[in-house]
Amino acid sequence: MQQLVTTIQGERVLLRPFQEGDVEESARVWTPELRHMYGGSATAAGRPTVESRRRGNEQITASGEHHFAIEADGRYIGFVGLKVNDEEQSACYRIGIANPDYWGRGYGTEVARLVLRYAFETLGLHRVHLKVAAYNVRARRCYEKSGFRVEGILRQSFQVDCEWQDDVLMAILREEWECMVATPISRADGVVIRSYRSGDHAKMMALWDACGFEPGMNDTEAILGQRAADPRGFILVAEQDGRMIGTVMGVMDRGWGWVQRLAVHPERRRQGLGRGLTQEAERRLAALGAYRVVLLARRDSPAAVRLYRDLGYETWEPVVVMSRRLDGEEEACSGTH
Amino acid sequence: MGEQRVRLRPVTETDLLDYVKWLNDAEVTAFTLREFPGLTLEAEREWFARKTAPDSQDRPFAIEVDGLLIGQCQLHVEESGQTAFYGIVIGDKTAWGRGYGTAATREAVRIGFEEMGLQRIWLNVGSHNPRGIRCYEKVGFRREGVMRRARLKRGQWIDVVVMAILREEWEADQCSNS
Repeated sequence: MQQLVTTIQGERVLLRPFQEGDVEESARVWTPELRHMYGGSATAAGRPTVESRRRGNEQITASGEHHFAIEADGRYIGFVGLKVNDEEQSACYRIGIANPDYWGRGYGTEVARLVLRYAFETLGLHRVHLKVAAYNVRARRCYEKSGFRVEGILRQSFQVDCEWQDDVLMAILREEWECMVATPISRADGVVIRSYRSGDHAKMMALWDACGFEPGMNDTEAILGQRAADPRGFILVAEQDGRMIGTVMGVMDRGWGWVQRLAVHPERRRQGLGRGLTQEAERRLAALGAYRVVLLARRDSPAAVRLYRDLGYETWEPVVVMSRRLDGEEEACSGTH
Repeated sequence: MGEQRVRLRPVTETDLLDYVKWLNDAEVTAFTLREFPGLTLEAEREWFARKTAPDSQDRPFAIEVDGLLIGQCQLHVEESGQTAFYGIVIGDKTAWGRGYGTAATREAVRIGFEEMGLQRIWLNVGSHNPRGIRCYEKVGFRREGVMRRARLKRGQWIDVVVMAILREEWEADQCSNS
């Protein structure tokens, strides 16, 4: 068995080996609700001791499982693991976010995304599966968002407080994961949406120029190449017959996914391309763990505003976009980005 | 009917030679999910010792037809003590296609619910084994799901079907049959 030496850095979380203080923290933040999520009683008395936590941890480590502590904001918030079956090139996925402050905020999805990348790319696995209590709706939704598909329902699989409960089997295959993160999407109209790759830069600059984007210092081939390779974001291009006709970029900032540089060639507008690119960007941001998408739209571009409203975006009242020029130039028009 | 002639009894050490022969037979293991390449009598003795140890949660049965050993099946009781995982192999190829597997499974399920007080019995079967699936359906197992490409069998990924029968389903079936 391969012992874990890796740490994996995500947008908001760090996956790292267990260290001093983790088991104390996991015992400290424990609530009965956590036990219930794992198919235990929600009402029974008793809680795990630091000692029992430590023993459990040692057993898991000894079993050869790929076992990470999840750290956020500099503290331990839970664990995640892959129990690999070498013969089947598959693994069983286990996650527990122990700290309730981090529930319902997309942390599970972000962790799943990182661990699936590790499973398929680093370990070269073919399938990752899991079992979840049917009543654990939040976990199921998280797994679905992360790309797991339901494979079956085990009826009356276990008992909680004298009631029989079902388990749900879920799995994701390597092809599905690749499809989710990397492979191009072909639309019925022959438009292909794919990741930016080297060689695209000149075409992309020409397209942005045709769309009237201001040239920026961050648009060099080197910088865009870096952004395309950064696991916390992506650059997508839309192509038809080898011609670049659209772009969109996404980047994660905490749990927010930013949609940027949506561009559709002036001759190719009003064909649903902007919608398709935005939706693809949303899908990928969700897979990166975003619980909210954010974008800036120009007031003097009513078509763009209409598109975003159609897609369910609203002016976000708590936020004011503030800006100040640093170069001393007069503002030609407001709200550029 | 064949049913009355099929009997389950505890596994004995003298059965092990036959088990080793069967599990080394590629025709027999073509339909099992797991394979045991190069299985030795030594390893099978260890298996027997484990299964018959006082703390063992497993109930392995020898399958006999008219007193002759034709196969083996077992209930592996899970942690809760109320659910069990079932597996069967008919090793004697001349006994194939005669409903003996179905009869043996029916009897194992009866023992599980009636004598052991189980709530749920479940199993895995390869989708490449439609005869097995039909046998389980006849006994009353229902399909619960398909684990896609879950097992590498002789160089090919196969889907694994999950089937289960619940106590109330089995009881309802007993009422309608009597």
